[in-house]
Amino acid sequence: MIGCKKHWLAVLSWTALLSICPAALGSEPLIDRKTGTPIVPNVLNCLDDLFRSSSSFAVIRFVVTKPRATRTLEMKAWTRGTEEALIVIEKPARDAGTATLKVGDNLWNFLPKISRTIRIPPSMMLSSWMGSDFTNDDLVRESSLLKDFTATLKGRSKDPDGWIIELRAKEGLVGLWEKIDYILTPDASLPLQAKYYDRKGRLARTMDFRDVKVFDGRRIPSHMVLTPEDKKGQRTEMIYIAIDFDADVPESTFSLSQLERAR
Amino acid sequence: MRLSTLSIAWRNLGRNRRRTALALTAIALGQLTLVAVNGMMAGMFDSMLKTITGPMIGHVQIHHKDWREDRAVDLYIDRLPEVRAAIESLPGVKSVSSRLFTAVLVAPGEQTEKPADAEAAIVVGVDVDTESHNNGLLEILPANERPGGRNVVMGTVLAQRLGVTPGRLIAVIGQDADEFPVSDLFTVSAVLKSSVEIVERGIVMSLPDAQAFFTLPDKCHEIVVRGSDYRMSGALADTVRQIPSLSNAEVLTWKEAVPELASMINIKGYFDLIFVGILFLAAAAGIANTMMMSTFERTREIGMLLALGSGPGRLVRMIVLEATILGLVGVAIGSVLGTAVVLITSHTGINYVAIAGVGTGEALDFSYKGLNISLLIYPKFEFRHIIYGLVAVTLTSVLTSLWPAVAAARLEPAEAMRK
Repeated sequence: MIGCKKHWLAVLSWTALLSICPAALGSEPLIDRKTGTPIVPNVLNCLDDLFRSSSSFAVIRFVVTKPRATRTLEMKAWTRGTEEALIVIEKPARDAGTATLKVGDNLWNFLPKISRTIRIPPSMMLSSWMGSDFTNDDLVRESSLLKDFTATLKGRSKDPDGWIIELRAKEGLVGLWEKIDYILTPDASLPLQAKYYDRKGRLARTMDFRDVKVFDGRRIPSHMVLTPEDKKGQRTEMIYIAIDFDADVPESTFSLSQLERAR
Repeated sequence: MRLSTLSIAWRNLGRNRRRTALALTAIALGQLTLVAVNGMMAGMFDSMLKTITGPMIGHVQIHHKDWREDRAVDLYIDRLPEVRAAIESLPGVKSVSSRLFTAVLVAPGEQTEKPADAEAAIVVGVDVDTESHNNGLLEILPANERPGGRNVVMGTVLAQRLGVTPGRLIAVIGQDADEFPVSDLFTVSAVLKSSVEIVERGIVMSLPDAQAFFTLPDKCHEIVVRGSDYRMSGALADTVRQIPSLSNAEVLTWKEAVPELASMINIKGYFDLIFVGILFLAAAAGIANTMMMSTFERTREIGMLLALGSGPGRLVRMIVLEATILGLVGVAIGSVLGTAVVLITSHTGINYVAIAGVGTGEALDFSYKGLNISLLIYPKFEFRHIIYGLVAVTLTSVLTSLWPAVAAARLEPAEAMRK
C-alpha cells in the first residue's frame, strides 16, 4: 500500500511537477484494493501536497540545450512553503551570483555583473527563466491540481507503462494549460510523464520524470526533462544533486538584501 | 480673330456686373477649393509617404526569410560587412542601413534602496552614421547626443514610463542569440520623439554596441536600402535579389512591406479627380447659366449685329470668348486665393484632429502598423492643381457656352430685332 505524506517539498512550484509520493507514510491509499485502479482524488491530493512544504535546501544542475549551444548551470535553492524561494546560480562563472527571489507573486532578479536587482514585470512572466524552457511564470504560478482541474482516469498506458490521468482546467480558471495528461507509475505513486496542452488544445510541452533516487529517505525522480513543442532541438534538464528536506531555512533568507548577498 | 471681338466680349461681361460677379464667385470658389483641398491632401500624403518610406521602412527591406513571422533573435542576416559592401556597390543605392532588434527588460540604473520595476522594450541597434542623415531614425538628433560607446537613445514613451531623463543610467537585461541572459548598464544620451513606434517605446543603440551586448557579431536582423526615388523601389529590389549571399533572404519593396499603407497612398489620385470633377460641375453650372441668360437677354442686340453684317461665326466666337474670359478670370482669382491659403497653412499647419473632431486628447498622430502618422497637416502647393482647374474650367466654358452661342448665331435677324 502506498501512502502520501503531507508537508512535501516544493523547491519551487515547478518542482510541483514532480508529483511524487514518498513511501508508505501517508494516510490515503492511492490504489483501490478491490478494483486495482488508482483513486483519482487521493492521487491528485498527493500531487498537490508538493505545494505544502515547510522548507528545503537543494543543489540542482540545470542543463539547457539549444540548437547551437548547451549550457550547464549549477544552483542552490532555498524554499519555505510555496510562497518563498531563493535560487542562486553558482556555475558557470559567467552567471555565478545571479539570483532569483520569489515572494508570493513577485519575482526579482539580481544581476551581479551590473550589481542591480530588477523586479520582473507581469508582462514578462511568460518569458524564459535564465534561458531555460521554464518560464518566470513556472516559478511563481500556484495551482492546485485538485482544485483547478477536473481529473479522469483514462486507463493504462503502454509506453511508458503506467496509468493515464487526464486533467482538464475547470471553467473560469485563468491559466496557461487547458489540459495536462499525466502518466503515473503502475503503483500511482510517482509521475513518469506530463504532457501540457495549451488553451487551443495543442501539445505545448512534455515533461519526463526519470532516475528515481532516495533523498533524505524519500523516493523521487531526480532527473526531469522538459521539452517544448515549438522549439526544435531545445530542452531543459533539471537534475537534483542533493536535497535537504525540512532544512532550517530562516525567514530572513527571502529578502531583497539577502538576494544581493546570497552565496 | 479680330481684336474687336475680344474687347466686345470683355465689355459685354461688364454690362451685368452682378451676374458676372456671381458667376466669377462660383468659379473662383471652385478653384479655391480645388487648390486648397488638393494641397492639403498632397501635404498629408507627402508626410505619410515620408513617414513610411522614411526612417523605418525605406525603399527596400531585407530580412531572414522567416523574420516577419517570428522575429526571433536567431533569425538574422549573417556576414554583414560582406553583404553591405555588395549592396552598396549596386547602382542607384543611396544608403544602406542595418538594424538589430532584441526584446529586453529595462530599468532605471541608479542604485536605489528599493529595486526598480523593469519595463519590457525593444532594443534597436542601428548604423549611427546612416541613421543620422536624411530620413534616418536619428535624423533630428544633435551630433553629441547620438548613441555609441555605451550611450543609448531612449524613446519618449519608455523614458516617461521609467522616469528616465538624459544623462541617467539604465540597466538592460536581454538575451543573446542562444537566448541566454545578458545584462549591462548604459547611459541615456537623449530622449527621442519618433514617428516609429518601437523607437518611441524602445532604446536605440549603436550597432557595434548591440552586436557586442547580444553576442551577435557581424549580424543584423534588417537591412534597409534607400535609392534615389521611392517609385523605383521595384527595380532596386530586383537588383538586390541578385546578390548571391542574399539568396536565402527575403527582399521586399516598401509597398510589399506595408501593402495597406501603399494602397492608402494610391487612393490619393482618386481624391484629386473627385475634386476636379466637382469643380467641373460647379463651373459648368455657373457659366452655362450666365451665358444662357445673357444671350437670351440680348436677342434683340444680336439680331442687330447680324443685320449689320457680322457673320454667325463671329457671334459664336464672341459668346464663347465671353464665357472663356469669365472662366479664366474666375480661375485666376480662385488660384490666387487658393495658393495663398495653401502657402499660409503650409507654415502654420492644419490641426486635422481639431477640425475633424476625432479624439479628444492631445494626440496629433495616429499609429498604424507601428508608424505614427501625423495628423498635423502641412499643405503642399503643387502647380499642377492650378493647371487641373484651368483645364477643367476652360473646357467647361467652351462647351457650355457653345449651345447659347450657336442658338444666337442661328437667329433670323428680322425676327430677333422685333423681340
